[in-house]
Amino acid sequence: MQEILKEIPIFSGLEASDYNKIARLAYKRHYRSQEIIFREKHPGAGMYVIQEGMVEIIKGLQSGGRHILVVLGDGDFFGELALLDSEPRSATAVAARPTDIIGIFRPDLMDLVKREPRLGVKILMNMVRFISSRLRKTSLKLLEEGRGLPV
Amino acid sequence: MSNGTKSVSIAGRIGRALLFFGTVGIVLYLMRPVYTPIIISFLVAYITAPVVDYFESFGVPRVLSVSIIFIIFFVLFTFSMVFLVPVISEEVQGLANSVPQFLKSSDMKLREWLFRLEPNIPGLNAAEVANQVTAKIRDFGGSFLREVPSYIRGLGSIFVLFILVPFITFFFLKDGRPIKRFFVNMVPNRYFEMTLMLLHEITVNLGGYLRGQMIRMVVISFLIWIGLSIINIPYALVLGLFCGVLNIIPFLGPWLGAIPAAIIAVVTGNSIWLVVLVNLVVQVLDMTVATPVTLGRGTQLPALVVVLVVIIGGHLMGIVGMILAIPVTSVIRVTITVVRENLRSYEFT
Repeated sequence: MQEILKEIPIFSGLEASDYNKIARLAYKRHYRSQEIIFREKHPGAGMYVIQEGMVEIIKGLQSGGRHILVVLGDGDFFGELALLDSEPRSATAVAARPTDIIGIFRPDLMDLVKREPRLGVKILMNMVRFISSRLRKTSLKLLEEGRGLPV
Repeated sequence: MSNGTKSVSIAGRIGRALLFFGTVGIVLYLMRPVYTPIIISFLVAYITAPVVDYFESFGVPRVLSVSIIFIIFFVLFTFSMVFLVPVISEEVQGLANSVPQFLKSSDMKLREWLFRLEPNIPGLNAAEVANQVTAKIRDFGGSFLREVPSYIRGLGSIFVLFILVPFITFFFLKDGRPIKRFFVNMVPNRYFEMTLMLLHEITVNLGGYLRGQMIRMVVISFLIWIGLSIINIPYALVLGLFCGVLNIIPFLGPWLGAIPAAIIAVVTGNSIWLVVLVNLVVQVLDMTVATPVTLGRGTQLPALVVVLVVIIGGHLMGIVGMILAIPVTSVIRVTITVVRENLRSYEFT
């Protein structure tokens, strides 16, 4: 599990003992094919990392249909913003085939941050860098499409 | 799937469910003797877990952090046994020996006041009112002196309280998280996220409430003890502890707690108004400082609910029921509120 966690930007650059501590928080879950991992509009509780399998991220359409936003495979992660707040999920995650998933949830992570402030600061700084990098990419994309304001 | 196959499948599921719940029921029935130590240990671990987390945040390994808490408990326990318990025992014994004299003196004072008031209040039968009030006080005091010791004895033997409870508490504190994970891992995927969040919110709300009440009890007991000692009321320590415990009952508790001190003030020739003043000052400090800091405002029960549950608790378990009614009701209320909000968020209602 430590090898999988090292690939996630939020948990990058930590010490070996830190990965052990995070691994102790994680839950290993198995989902059957077409089993829902979380639903759109439900409160976000945490992030998931695909150990083995495939997950479809699906957006419901107003017309009643569904649109597959992305298909994720081994090592990919999703739902990471739920580590910060309980805002409703923006899409539904469904196991496209039998899938093993590692889940890391916000209450457990915040509990770890309180008990291990040094490790907590590193993780939170990683999260800030990850989110600001995403914001920059989104701003650039909007500028290229002529929709954003010049900074 | 044909109808026949479906019926067999449903029957199989019902059979497995009955077997599972039947087995759980039998195991729970056989475990009856250990419920009390487990519940006490769980509550102690629940209340003290943040202190263990605090030590752990300084890099102290969890086993050592739990051991530090136990050392602190042991020191406090030894201090209590050496200094506090003898004083409390002496005061309780003195109070018990003085009760007949107090009742006689308070009865005389009460009759004196009522006979003075009788000409001015039409329809007042001073003798009858005095008899009824004295009988109520005698019943209240008698039932308190009978029920509290029997309830304490009912908690368990010395082995249970001083060996089993610390032992179980140690492992709840050390392995609380893995134990919780073991049970949460058994929840089906469909309810997994909701269960995690539910448990977290119940822990935060209930833990805060229980810790807040404990701190309030200690603070109020201490302040009443100091206040009554300053105005030279005898048995101030026992009266302080009594007030601290009864303050769990909102609205009624502070006044019920003040009655014994007031009676003792009257019969020993001290000023009842000073006792009232001490209680008022402590209640103002409690309302303005202690309660908002320790409990917040969200856990306050409506006044009507307080009165009803105290009456029901008193009817079911006497004095002990009256004291336990409020914490039990608050625990149930918090749990229902959190469960309802989570079910709504996850669209199960």
